[in-house]
Amino acid sequence: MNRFNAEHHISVPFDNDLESIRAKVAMMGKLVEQQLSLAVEAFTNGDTTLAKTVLDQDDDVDQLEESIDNECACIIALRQPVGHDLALLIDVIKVTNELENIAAKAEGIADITLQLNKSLLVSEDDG
Amino acid sequence: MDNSKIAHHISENFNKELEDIRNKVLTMGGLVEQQIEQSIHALTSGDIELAELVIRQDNDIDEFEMIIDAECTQIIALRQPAAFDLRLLLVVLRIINELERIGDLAERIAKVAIQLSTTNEGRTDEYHELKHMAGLVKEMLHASLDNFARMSIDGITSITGSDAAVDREYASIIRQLITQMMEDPRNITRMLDMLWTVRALERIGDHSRYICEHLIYMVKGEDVRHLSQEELEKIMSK
Repeated sequence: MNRFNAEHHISVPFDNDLESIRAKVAMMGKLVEQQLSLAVEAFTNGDTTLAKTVLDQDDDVDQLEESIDNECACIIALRQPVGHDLALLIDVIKVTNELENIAAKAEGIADITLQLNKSLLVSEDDG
Repeated sequence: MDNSKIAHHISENFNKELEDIRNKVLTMGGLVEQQIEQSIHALTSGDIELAELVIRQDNDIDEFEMIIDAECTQIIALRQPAAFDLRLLLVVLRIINELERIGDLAERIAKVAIQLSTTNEGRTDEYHELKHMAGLVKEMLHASLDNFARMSIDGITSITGSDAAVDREYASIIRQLITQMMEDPRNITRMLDMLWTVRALERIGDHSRYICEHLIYMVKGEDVRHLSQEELEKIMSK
């Protein structure tokens, strides 16, 4: 079931707004999923290049969050939705926040990977 | 209290609703501040009863979050606010989420306090740095809630700026803990518990910083999340 209930509003642009948000949340979710598995992969393999990729891509997640939140706020202000639509938009803002938190954890794992590799190098030098 | 920002509506009821929300957020914030205070006190003094109280009180915070959340959604639906009013309500939703997370972190510290007290024989006064760090993050949270109460963002960069001081303190305590672990491996379990605590404090500092970022969005309408302190200061000086 599509919670975004597209194509049931009299206003077609409103349906389009919701569809655009749905697509962006899905995209953000995929990206966060990918960030997390890349971060774990970088950590387990000690792959610093991959860890750096994760750190670089975190900006994309942040930008998606900002853009989705902004769209939701604009829709609430302009369309003044009630009931199901309003609840949905507020939930979307909460979901983007959770996703962003997960991405931040992935970033943390990538950070640790870089640090760990650095200290491994140092101790090899010492020996 | 300065009500100019929220008490200008033709509808007296709407003014009251917004004021009520603000008061509830401040009550919740006060409770969260108290939770941090008590959890740290429980840890440093080995007071298990106090720690258990903190764990029980976390439910009150969760309840506050749900009540405020429902009220905000209802006001948005019924009053259809725009501009500052809408941003205020959206920001309240975010702030209570940050507060709830800080509450969880305090609960976590309380759980560590219980665990530590069982292995705490004869150890006193080694919490000097920890207390100092807790003081810093409490001050950050208090200042950000104070700014929310006044609906103002004057001098907000000095609050977000202290996050760097918290991070420095965090790194320095971690270094000490590692040294102590190497000195005596029997310490490792205890030191790991301490590590969770300083980590929780560091996260509380982060969440206080996020509250400041939400306040900037509320007042200026500009999304300043994910910016560095320098970028933030540049935007605020505009």
